[in-house]
Amino acid sequence: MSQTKSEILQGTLDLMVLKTLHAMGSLHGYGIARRIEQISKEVLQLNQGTVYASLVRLQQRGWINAEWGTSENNRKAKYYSITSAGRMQLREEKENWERIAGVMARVLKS
Amino acid sequence: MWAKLRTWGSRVWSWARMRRTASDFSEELESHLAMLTEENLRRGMDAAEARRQAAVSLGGIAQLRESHREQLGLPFLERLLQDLRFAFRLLLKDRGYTIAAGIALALGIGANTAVFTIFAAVVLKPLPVPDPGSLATISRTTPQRPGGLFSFADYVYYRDNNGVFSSIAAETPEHLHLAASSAARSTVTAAEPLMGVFITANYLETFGVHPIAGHGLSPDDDFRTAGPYPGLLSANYFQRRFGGDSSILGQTLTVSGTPVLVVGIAPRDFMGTRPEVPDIWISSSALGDARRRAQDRTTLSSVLTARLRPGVSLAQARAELNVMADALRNQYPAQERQWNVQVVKATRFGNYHYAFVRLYVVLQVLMALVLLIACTNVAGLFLGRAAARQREIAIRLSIGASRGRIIRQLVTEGVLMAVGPASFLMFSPCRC
Repeated sequence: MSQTKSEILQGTLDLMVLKTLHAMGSLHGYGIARRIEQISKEVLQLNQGTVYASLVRLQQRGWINAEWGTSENNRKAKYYSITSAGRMQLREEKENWERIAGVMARVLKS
Repeated sequence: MWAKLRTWGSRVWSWARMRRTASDFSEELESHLAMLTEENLRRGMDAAEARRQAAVSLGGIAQLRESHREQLGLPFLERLLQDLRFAFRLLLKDRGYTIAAGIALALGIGANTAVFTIFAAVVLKPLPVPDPGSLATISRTTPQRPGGLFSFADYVYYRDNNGVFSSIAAETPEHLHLAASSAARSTVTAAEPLMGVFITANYLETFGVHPIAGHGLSPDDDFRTAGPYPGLLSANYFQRRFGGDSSILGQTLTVSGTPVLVVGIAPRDFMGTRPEVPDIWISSSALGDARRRAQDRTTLSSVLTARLRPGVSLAQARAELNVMADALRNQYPAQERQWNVQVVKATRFGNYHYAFVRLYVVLQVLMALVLLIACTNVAGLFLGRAAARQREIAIRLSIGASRGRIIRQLVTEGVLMAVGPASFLMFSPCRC
């Protein structure tokens, strides 16, 4: 299953969004983008808007849900939360990544 | 993959609610921008700077909208619709070309459709009897006449010695006339022409039809030596001539000098393998009783229709009848062995089937050539137009349209051109 470079990049971002929602619970677009920036210790400098394409993709696959709500300062915002299917996907991807990381570590060490 | 299916389903759904989704997203972006601005204000920037920095962090709005939209909807469908709209406008603009091409194609397509429709309506339509697939027409072929008739003796020979047909019936069509008579209650004042068919007793049974009134012929009827001979009126003739008056049952009509007793009415529109609905079906004993006719080898007047036994194919029947024909042929003197036997699926044309098929093929090939010429004409017109559009295409390429996109659009134009006249013909009021 060959993927183009952009698809791999997309997939990586999707995974980060999924993990963020899993860890933080229900969050809006701004919150997710902020959190990703924090966690990556400001290494990842993406345009915050790019999470939205990710969010649409995740919604289409049924891994997250969306709901309109009110933010801390009384703004109307769309809140996203992970679904059980999403949790399962996250687990799978985590295992995948750890496996790849392990193999690469061994190869590079030898 | 289940996820793929979900994705596509979601795309279709969002395509249907495109405008709502787009405005929703705008709201979301607005809200996001506002939150970023607030954060910047907290950091100590002034209002204008806060807003500017927020916009930078968020990213280009137009770009975001574009990538958001790409995830939604059905890009393929949208592009197709766009191409169609453009092609339609273009065709409307070059009216002269469109009309010329349209007429050429309409003529070509129309001619072919007409020929095929007639053929399909008449020849391909199955006979309106139960299980038409297992009915076969047996014809006596000679080099001069592929759809020839048998003698009654031949008929008896095939009927009694074959193992592939559950029944074979014989018919002899003839133009008759109905004499003026006072016996019938309805008015028959002067001799009227009748389309008649003389049938063996098992005729209706072979086709699987039953009379809708009265009764059919019984096996003894084949051996009658004197009148009145039993016969059935077709329901069509019964309605037309006698107004559906059932008192005609049991009456004797004089048909070409022969007394015929009306014993039943055949179903409406039943025509065996005749090209049109006959008026009257008369027991073939009126032509001479079966025993006597069985000796007659020379009068070739019988059309044979047979019902295949269940599980027997046409090919098997053909093989067996060929063997039987061989055996029969060897009894003839050498110079009279030019004939052969052919077994084909029964159609409305009876034994003229092959002649019609040949005629149809010739016509269809001719019409196909006409269509080919029309297509060549249209292709020429297209080429002329393409030469005139070189500048437009160059401009489009230079502002970044991919070759594939342009080709796709041109192809859409071509298809629209072809589909246009064809669909107009299909939905036009003049249908044959």
